[in-house]
Amino acid sequence: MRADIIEATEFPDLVARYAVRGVPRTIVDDRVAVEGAVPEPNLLDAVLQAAGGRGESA
Amino acid sequence: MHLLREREAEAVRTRLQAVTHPVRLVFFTEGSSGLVIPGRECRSCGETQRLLEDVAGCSDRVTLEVHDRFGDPGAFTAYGIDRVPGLALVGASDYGIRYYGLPAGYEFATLLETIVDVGRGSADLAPETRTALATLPRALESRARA
Repeated sequence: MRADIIEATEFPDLVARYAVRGVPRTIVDDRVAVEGAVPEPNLLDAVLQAAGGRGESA
Repeated sequence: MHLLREREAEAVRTRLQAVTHPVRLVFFTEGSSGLVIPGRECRSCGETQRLLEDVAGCSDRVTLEVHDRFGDPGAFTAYGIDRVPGLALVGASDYGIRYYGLPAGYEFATLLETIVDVGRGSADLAPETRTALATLPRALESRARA
């Protein structure tokens, strides 16, 4: 697993590509998006969802 | 010119005492050699580099390496860096953590906490999270917009 942290204001092309309207927004594997500073279990759910449909986003 | 004032530098020195393994801040920039593409100048590269120099100066265990896109494109490929300013935070191993942009304001805390995690070789994840992640079948990429 790798993690890229992006300053949204500096990369408008990525903001457009990932439909970022607020931050933080976390995108896993280009497929699952999580809005806001959510608790750890919610991020885990997103990762599991992206990995193969396991877990549910809260 | 320092970007961190003495009081801030003191707070950073204190926080970085939690770092137990050497951390390399591998910084990727362009234009440091004076060569730039007109219209595509990296506006935050210089300020980011100065900030990272200040941070590295706050701990004997944190070092800064600088690679310029035009002088050292191979390093960009080696670390999987595709934008500037880009930063790879590397500890006892490369955990795949990259930061793009100027880590100022609220995000300065993000930078510090990431350095500490990398320098401890551990993140404060719940045991259930670690167990679940250990079952992942393949590499994932997580992009967080700050």
